[in-house]
This record gives sequence, structure tokens and C-alpha cells, in this order.
Amino acid sequence: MTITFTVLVLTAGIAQAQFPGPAPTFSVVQSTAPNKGQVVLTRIVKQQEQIAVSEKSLENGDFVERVRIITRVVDREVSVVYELGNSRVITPKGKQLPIDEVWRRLKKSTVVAVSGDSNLPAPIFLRALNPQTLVIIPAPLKPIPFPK
Amino acid sequence: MRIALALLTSVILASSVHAQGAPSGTPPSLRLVHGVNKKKGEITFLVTVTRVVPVVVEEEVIVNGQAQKVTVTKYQTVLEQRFQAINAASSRVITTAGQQLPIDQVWKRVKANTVVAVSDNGAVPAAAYLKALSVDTLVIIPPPAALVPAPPVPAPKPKRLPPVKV
Repeated sequence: MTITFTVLVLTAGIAQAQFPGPAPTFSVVQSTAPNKGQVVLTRIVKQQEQIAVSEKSLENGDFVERVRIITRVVDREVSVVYELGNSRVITPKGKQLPIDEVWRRLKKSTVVAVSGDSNLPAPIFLRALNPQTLVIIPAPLKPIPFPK
Repeated sequence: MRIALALLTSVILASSVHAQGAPSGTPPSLRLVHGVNKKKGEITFLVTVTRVVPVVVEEEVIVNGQAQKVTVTKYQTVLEQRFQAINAASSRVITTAGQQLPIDQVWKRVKANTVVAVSDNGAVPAAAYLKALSVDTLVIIPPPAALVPAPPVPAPKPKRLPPVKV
């Protein structure tokens, strides 16, 4: 079993024109607040964490305990609030849904697909989704402030 | 007796409602098939991810009526493309209905420029995630050992961009 990575770094503009862009990811509706125009989605992110593991071994007739730091990958549940007023919600066929229809269909525990980069996902990815699955295209993120 | 039966029924219904709640486990990720190598038993994916990288930009600012050049660090979103290969022979490939496909069917259906869903934790994705996929989409479940991520990449050095007038 081999996993090989080759990394190419491309600017967003060039990549959008030539490549399909990032795939949408699945999230689960945690709650909705139609009066605020917000939906809270839960998604799983993979994070690396380092933990101390103690190991005992027998050396020259004595038990020796050593502490080793290992890195493991854990799944963390993250809640993200999306403002649907700034976002678009479409079906996999590309049809934009009116907001009342969106609130009717976005129920707790519904699985939705969220665009990876605030753009319409490539048709090849949309075709892989169930026609009933909603696709949320969030507004672009605000620029990251300069760290002090 | 009737009360006991009613209680038991309500407990069973409550547990089934809980089971139909939020899907548990990691959702599968959609991957674009870049190519297949039947001889090696490999499927190669082209995965696009977004990353935020620091870039150094020269800006012109007006201080006391005079234009001055200052260097500032800004952050730019870039797309990274990675080729990822998995061994299909040691993976399970199922349909969204949960039916396992024999390997010859896998080679017939998995072609370049098709999209498949890949389990990220070596387990069958929850039914709610499978339901969110098209019936024609295949789900590949590699063994957990195959999914160990690459070691963390050191932070990239800032690159210099052309000056921007403010």
C-alpha cells in the first residue's frame, strides 16, 4: 500500500480556469435560525495531536519505563455558522433554491455539501451527489488580519 | 402487560429515532480519479486543497506628503494539487446501497475523470452520507493503515510579490 504525493502550488485564479477546483465536503445541519438567516453546520476535521505514551521494557532484568511522544490523527467535530443571506444554496443540477425552500429542506441532521472555495463546485463533483442533496456555496471569507 | 408492551415499544422507538439522528463518523470525501493502473492495482486521485500562505508585498504609502515603500506580509489563498494513489486490491469498493463490488467491476466502473467517494477512516460511511451521494457513485474504503497522512509540512517561506500602489 503506497500513498504518493506530488504537490503543485497554483494561484487560485489559474487553477480555477484549468482544474476542477476543490471538491465539496459533507457537513451535517446542527440547527437553523431562519429569523437570523443562519444555519449551524457540523463538520469533522482531522487534527494531529501529540500525546505522551509510556512504554515498559525489560532491560538487564529490570523493568524500564520510557515516555515517548507520538503524533496521532484525531477527528474533531467543528460547528460552523453560515449566513445564508450571503450564500447561495443550489441543487446538484445547478438550480438555485428560493430561501423559503431552503429553510424547508434544511432540517436538523440533514447532510449537505459545502463548496470548498466559495465557488460553484465543478459539474463533475455535482454529478456525484444525490439530486436531493443541497449544496451550500458560502460567501468568500474575509481577509485574514495581519498577526500582531 | 399492555403497559409493559407500550413502554418497551416507546423505548425501541426512542432508540430508533436517536439512531436516525445525526450521522456518526467521518464523512467520505469526493475525489477525482486521475488514472487507474490495473497492473499495479492502483487508483490515482487528483486532490485539490486550499491553503493560506504568507506573501511579502511592497506597498507605497504617503507619509508627510512623501511616497515611501513599505514591506508588509499578506496572506494569499492558493490551491494545491496532490496526486494520491491507493491500492484498489486491498480496499473495499461498495455502492451507495452497501453492495460490495468485485474487483473486475471496479476496473470497469472506475475510470479517469470520474468522481468517487473515499472513506477517510477505513470504515463504511454512515447511511446518511451514502444517501447524499448519487446512486452511481462508488465508495472506496481503503484499509485504515493506508490513510496515515503525510508528516506535517513546514511553513512555507514568504515569497515576494510585485509592488502594489496604495
